Amino acid sequence: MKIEDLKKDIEKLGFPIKIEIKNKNELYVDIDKDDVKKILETMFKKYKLYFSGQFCLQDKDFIINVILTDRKNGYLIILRYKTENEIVSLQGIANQSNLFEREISDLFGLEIADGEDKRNIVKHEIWENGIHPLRKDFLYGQRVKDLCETEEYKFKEVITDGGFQIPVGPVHAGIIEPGHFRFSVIGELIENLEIRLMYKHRGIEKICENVDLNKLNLIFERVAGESSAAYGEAFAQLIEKISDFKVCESIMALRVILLELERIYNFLDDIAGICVDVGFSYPAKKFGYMSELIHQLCERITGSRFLRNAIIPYGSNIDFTEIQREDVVKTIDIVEKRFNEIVEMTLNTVSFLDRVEHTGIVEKAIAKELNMTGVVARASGIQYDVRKSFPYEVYRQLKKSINFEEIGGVFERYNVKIAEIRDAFKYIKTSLTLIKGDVEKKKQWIDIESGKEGFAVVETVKGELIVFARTGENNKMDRVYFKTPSFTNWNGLTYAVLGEIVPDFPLCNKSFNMSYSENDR
Amino acid sequence: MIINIIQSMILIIAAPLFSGILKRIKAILRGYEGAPVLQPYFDIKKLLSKERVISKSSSFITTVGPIIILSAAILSAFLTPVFFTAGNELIGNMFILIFILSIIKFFNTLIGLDCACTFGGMGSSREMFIYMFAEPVVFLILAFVYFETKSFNIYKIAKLNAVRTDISSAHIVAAIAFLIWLIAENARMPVDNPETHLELTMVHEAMILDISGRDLAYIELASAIKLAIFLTIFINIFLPFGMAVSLSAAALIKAVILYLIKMLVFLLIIAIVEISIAKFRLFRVPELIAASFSFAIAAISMMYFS
Repeated sequence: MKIEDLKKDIEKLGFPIKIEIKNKNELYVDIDKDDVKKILETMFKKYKLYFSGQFCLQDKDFIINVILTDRKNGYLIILRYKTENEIVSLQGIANQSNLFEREISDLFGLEIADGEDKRNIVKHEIWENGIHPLRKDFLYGQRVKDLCETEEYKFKEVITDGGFQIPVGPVHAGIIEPGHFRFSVIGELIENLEIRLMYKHRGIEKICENVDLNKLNLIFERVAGESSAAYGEAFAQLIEKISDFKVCESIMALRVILLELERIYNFLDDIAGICVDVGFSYPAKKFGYMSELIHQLCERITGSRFLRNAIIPYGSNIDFTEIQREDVVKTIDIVEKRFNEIVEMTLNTVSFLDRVEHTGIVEKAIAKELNMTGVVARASGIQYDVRKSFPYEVYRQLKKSINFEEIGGVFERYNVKIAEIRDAFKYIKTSLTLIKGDVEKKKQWIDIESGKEGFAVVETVKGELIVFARTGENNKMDRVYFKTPSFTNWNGLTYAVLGEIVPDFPLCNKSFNMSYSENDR
Repeated sequence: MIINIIQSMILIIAAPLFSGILKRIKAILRGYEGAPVLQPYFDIKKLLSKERVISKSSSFITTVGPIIILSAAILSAFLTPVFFTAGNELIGNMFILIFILSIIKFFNTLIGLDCACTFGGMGSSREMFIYMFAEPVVFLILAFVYFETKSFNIYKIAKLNAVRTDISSAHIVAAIAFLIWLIAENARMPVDNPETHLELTMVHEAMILDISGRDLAYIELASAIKLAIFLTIFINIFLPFGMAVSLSAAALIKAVILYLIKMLVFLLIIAIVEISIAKFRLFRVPELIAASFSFAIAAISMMYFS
């Protein structure tokens, strides 16, 4: 279906709405506040749409935006309604909408009209009261004071004879970010798990509103360090989309190489982590070693182990010549050969398979209900990959099929990650052939008029990243919103561990390997 | 008499070295350099100079526990022959040795429960769960050894087995049973992962999470000694060939060298086992110990029917 047809079709539904098409695949539907639920229900019934997020804009009033994605055609449909002080709760209609509503409620100070879950999510007990950091009247640079004025968070608790709770975190034994895990267990069996995150909220969306567009890619890359390239790509995509600019194929292919390198080292670390957590140290060290080889390759070609500041809008911030090309080919060949050997070894080890098979299962229905995306969703049988649904750069040529598994356990996630690494090797090799000649470092000044808006959708290592941006005065953004993959995927973990024993939790957690900092954005 | 004291002292002093060697072998097998073999000594020295922090909710158990654990470990070292045995010592009853070693476990468990930390309690419960299955195995092995040598005294057992030339297959089967028990008892892979940092999967480490400073040094030293004692007992019961039975210099030197070689071989075996398999799921551990139990029973039956 063409987007114009979709527009006409939606107009026919008979609601008082105003529709506008922007940037070729974004459909902005202005609706009335009272109609939200009805329109959403009708649209879910009529079209195959997925709820992807909800965010707030501030003009004179607040504008709530509900993001819906059409994964088949690659369209984004945004339902917008104006409101003064409350959000219409979509809990029960759109899955996991409670997370988004609670976030808006904490950061903008809007009430959630009806709906079951109204607990704080960003605000922790230590916050001072009546403060809403993303509102325009909250000045940039102002700090949230530690006054301990916010009400206490209520955990879901399972109380029976012999049941007890294990609080883990927010400070952990390993060097990881803060997150609190509240287990309700009976003996070793986990009956319930609730995860509380956002201990170190950084206010990046606020920072983005106050940084010049030419430096903004650096801030984007800091949202999640392990997906720096993907966030840089999201920024580049966004700016190019808003200003209707198309880079040449060589640069597009170079970006894909960087994105896939990032995928390789992340997934290598992930599967190394899975091996560490079952105490299988030989392959763990080897995978770690390969990841290090890739990191060093990244440093040689971009100057940054985490590929920072390499992908920029309108061009490339690195030189890519024959020397780099040979380096990439050589390193990839070495890593690929050893990788296959070690993977073969793990798949032939009974004690390893015994630990990972039928452990931490997330069924397809649950994954669907939680709107999970990325590798963890594909392991549960959801065939969705942003690179296929919203092809960017040269993925239209490269991405022909989706890697997925059926059962949704740790072993399946392990397998999907391995398949993604193998694909990445393939894509890098094909992309290298698409680069014609040398790519030269070229930085172009970004200058965009105010009032333009657009979305970028990128497949990061954790899943689907949606970034919204609207430009404002003085070459700065007026509002940036990140729908990070981890934000919704984290809850998959709470289902994965149900019925498992406590010592298997770290394994399930590592197979998900969700990012804390993507929540603390 | 004096040689017994000297050999036990050597065992105590060398115990951290054996842990260091084990770690180094594992590192080399996995393809990196690893910490120097003397690292455990540096760690203990560092911990001894550190401040001791004790949880407010803990009782006197946490205060005295580590010292009791260390003294039990040292005491049991003095009841074990290392490379010399005269065979007429009054000390060295296996039951006493096993029960002194159990004191270490008992106090470890109490410390885990004492510090009011959820992980400690979980660690203690898991430790007891594993121990419950592991304890019968050792009695069966002792029974086998008694049938073989008609003695419960480890010095005498070592002496008799040192000169034995006909090693029966039952002997080998019992040795396998003992080796599995040794791994379970010392919280090694695949029962427990001594390298993990994950509180939720720990068994032994979870119990001592709240211990710090010199208390931790005592416990680390005690576990190193315990591992060395178990390996020494194993060597001296099942492979004591070449042990010095007289006080001649040549015999002693030969005994020491052979002891070190045997020790290194078993450290290598442990290292290979540890890197080549994944840790068992907690509720699979009883199956492993059941295997050890079956080996012990099989050894006794083979002994009886041959």
